[in-house]
Amino acid sequence: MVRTGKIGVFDVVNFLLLLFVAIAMLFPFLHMASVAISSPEYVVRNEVSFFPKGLQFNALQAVFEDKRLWIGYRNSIGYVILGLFISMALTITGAYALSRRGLVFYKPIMLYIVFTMMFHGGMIPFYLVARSYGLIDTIWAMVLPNAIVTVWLIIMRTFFSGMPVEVEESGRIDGLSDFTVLTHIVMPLSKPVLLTIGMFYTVAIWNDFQSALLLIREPNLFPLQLVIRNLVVVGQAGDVLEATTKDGHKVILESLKYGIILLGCLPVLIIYPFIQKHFEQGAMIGSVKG
Amino acid sequence: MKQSVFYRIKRNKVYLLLLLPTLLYYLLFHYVPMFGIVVSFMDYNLFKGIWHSPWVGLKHYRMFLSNPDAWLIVRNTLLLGLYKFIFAFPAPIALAVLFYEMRWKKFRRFVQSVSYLPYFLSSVVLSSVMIMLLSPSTGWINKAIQSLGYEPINFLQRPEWFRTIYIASDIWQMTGYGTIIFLAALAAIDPQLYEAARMDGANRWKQTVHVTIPGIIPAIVIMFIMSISGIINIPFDKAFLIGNAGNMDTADIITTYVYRIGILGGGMSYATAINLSLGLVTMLLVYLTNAASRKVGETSLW
Amino acid sequence: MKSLKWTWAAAAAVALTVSGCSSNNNNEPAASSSSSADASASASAAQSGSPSASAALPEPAKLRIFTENNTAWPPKPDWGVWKWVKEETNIDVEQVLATGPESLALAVSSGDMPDVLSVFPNDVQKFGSQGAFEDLSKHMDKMPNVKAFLDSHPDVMSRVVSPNGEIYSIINDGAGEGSQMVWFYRDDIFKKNNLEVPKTWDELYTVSKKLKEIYPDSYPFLFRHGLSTLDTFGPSFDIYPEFYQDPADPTKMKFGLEDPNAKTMVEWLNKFVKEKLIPPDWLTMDYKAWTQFMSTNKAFVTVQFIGQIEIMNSQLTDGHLQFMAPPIGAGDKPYLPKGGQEGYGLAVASTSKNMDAAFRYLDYIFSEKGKDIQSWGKEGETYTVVDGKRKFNDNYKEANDLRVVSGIQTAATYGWFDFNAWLSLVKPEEQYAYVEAPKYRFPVAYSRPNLTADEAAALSTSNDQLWKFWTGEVTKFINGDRPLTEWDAFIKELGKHDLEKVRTTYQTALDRQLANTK
Repeated sequence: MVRTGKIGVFDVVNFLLLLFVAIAMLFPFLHMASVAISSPEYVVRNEVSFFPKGLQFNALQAVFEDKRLWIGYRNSIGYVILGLFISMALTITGAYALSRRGLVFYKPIMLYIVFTMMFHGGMIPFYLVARSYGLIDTIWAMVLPNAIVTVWLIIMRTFFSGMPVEVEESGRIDGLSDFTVLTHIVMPLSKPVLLTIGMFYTVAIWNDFQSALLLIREPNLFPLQLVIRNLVVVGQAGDVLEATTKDGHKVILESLKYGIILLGCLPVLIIYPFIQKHFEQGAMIGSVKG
Repeated sequence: MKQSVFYRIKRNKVYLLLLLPTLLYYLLFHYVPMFGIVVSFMDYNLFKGIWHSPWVGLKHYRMFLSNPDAWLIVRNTLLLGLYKFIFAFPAPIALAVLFYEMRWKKFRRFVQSVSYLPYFLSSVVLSSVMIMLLSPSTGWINKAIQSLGYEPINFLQRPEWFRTIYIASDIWQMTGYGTIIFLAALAAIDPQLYEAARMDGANRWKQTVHVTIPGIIPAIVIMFIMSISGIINIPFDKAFLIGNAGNMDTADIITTYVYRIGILGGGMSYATAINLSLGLVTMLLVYLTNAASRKVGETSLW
Repeated sequence: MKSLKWTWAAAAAVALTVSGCSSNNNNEPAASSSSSADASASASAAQSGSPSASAALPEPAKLRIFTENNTAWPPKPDWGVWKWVKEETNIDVEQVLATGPESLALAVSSGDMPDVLSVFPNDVQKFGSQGAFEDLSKHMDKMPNVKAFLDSHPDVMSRVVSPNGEIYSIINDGAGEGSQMVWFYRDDIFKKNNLEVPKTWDELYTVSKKLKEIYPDSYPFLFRHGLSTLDTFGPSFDIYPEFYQDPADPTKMKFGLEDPNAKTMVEWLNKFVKEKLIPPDWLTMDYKAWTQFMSTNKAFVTVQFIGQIEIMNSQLTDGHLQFMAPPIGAGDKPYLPKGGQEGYGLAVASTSKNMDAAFRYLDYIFSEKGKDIQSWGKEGETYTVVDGKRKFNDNYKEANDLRVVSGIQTAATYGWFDFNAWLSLVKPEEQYAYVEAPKYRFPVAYSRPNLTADEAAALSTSNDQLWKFWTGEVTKFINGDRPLTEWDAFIKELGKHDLEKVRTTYQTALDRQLANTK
């Protein structure tokens, strides 16, 4: 913005409002981390708000020692790697084909795809179908049912069709085939959209809770989200407490639960600064529809 | 010149081949389940399977309509969606304008980054944090309330608090991210308009009202239309995670009801009937809003 | 598909070196690592000492058994109970744990159920009628010991057999004494403050008020089963909350909440909540929270499983809990629920591929020999005989150690329990509760007559609806969110939530049951 002028009441109020927003956004994270690493006496007296008091890591240590959390981590990472590969492969090939000018049956195919955004059978038919495919208690339950997000497929298609015809034609002259045009020209030129959509898929798979709740019963296959839910929401964190109080460490349930949640969102917090640029672009691409 | 279909298929065979997995995906995970709705017309038994379960016609639909819970659940769903729409929709617009008007760029950048962050948290993490913060005996919020001399409130056990908590947490999580689209619209406003406004003696507030807001009206209209279907399509996760016996009166929405009755209770036919009724209404709503957005914004989802 | 499971993930996630992802592969029950060295030595002696028995063992088999996941006795694959099962029946047991509140329902819905499941009667009614569980009555020829057990236990028989003769589960017997809910209190605190043990709810209220004055940050009265605790409070008001056979007229089903005493009960609880004599989060109190309250002098009167008295007493370093008679809320006699019966039983999945092994397992645990071994373990290994009396080894210090160390008396590990095994480890001063509790039994048990599959299916949503409605409203009354002046309106509203439909169905079932026993 190029407006100039003195700093007035307007700016001060605006500053205060945004400061409040920043505090409101950060507080839960700071509080969570602080409680997790504060010593129990301060937590119990509610003296821990933004910053830790009486630093100690017994609660975090207890969390680290819980095998379930690591199994969840391992599984979630596995689901993201496999799921990202499947989702991107399907979305890229699908979007590329749909972006080709004069594709035969284009309209009926688009209708076929878009109709699914308007109508779905619901949870029970989905469950019955997943069950009949034998997905229950397999890794595929976490990567196949939501492999394509239709909106992202359409966004990618729009991006691909916006590519200048000349670039593609020059590739043809160099002897590229229908398929190698995708790998040698379209994909390298679409890095931003690929990165963005890849990131959205990653977050979606990492955060997926419903598929796991419905389809995964085997504790060795639990993704992190389900583990956190069982520990914190259902309250199984108590058994961690049992294990540690035997060692003589004093750990309180609150610190423990916050420690679990903190560890659960740690990957997002770490990766966040690096992906920020891309998702801003992504949200923009999403808004420009074809 | 019109080519024959066969010729076009042949010419497009690589593309069609590339498209095949995608089409197969939609068939397996979207269309096959759609046919699964037949179970709502039978007394489906898991152990007899779809071929040996008896047909019962509209029995389950009648059951739903005659069930006093039905009204409550539909009402819960719609009210939650409506309140969410009313309160959560304007939030990102307001915040985007605040960002836009912030002249200290580094500070603006910082607040922006911080406000996008919650969007990436999972529903499980968000719900867990809420449960912790709102706990009547150990939660920070209740301890703060107590230190001010008031009684602790058992937020998550009280039906009258559920919607407030649900929507407040939605606003917390989604607002920052939602500003992105409006910021883009704001960036496109012609600076000369402000110049002209200043010539007319408009102060900052007036400039905001007369230039900034009108400048993003088209974006607002489009987003408005696009979020209408959200009134009925409320995600399962958060309502399920923070719902419990105490707040069920308001927290029980269609998706959680379907899960409880269908998956946990084994009443799959009945649950499917409910789901299908909801699905048809959603379809209508999505269709109408899309038609509207085509007209108003000259954009549409397809 | 399943074989692919984790081979790739192990490669992908080398960064996170995780141990123990292979619990599936080594469920061979090794010699119990938790028992002492001499115990395992004698275990091998016991094995070699009975070569004839091992020679007669049937074909090896594997069973997956669905059990509870109790944090107070975390399940271990190397528990003695599973080792003895292997020795006696040649069956390798893999425990499938309930990992969340929805585990059993999801197991049933998925169609991939463990072979044997520990289930409660309402699960049996819900899922049995859907065909999830095998009708065991057809297989009694393969289970002579189960048949003998049922013949000698007509009370169990009447609870498990459906009106059409199907048996979807066998309810356990013997350990019910240990799972009674009783009242107990901090006798040291009462003594210290010269307080009388309350005999009525009125006195309970007065004494709680006094305790609250003395210990302002306490919640003198504590319970941790939320609204289910009404099942225990009810009898002290001469009722159970939902349906049961009316003791005044045994031919009628009664819905307890309709009794005026139910209102009195809810009024009391409302008063306790209002004056903070009960913690505000009473509805969701879990075991851990309950333990914290009890062990930090923040609660003094409580309702819990009888075994918890001893467990808590061993944790209370400077305090003591003692059984107390239930306070009278209405009527003239103090009552506890009619206990002594076990709540859960064992069902066999109708989809099981190891059905014969499942029958063999059931037949073993319901046999006299199985009862003895699964309750006591084996001589030399877990106990020695001194002067003709059995004495558990020293590593079992209290009764609960039987569960923790060897899995004895945990869900699905036994069918027919010898409660003397448990009592032998209960300290003499703690046995008081076990002697006293049976004196206060309510005349009738809190149970409903069995329904046919069709009746059960017809009621499945009605039951859910009615339950959801009354629990929700009663919670409001207790929390003061709905004034008690609306109680009568609430009773009328029950009618809108299928009360009559449910009542008629159970009445029909009761009539049929009474006609059959005549």
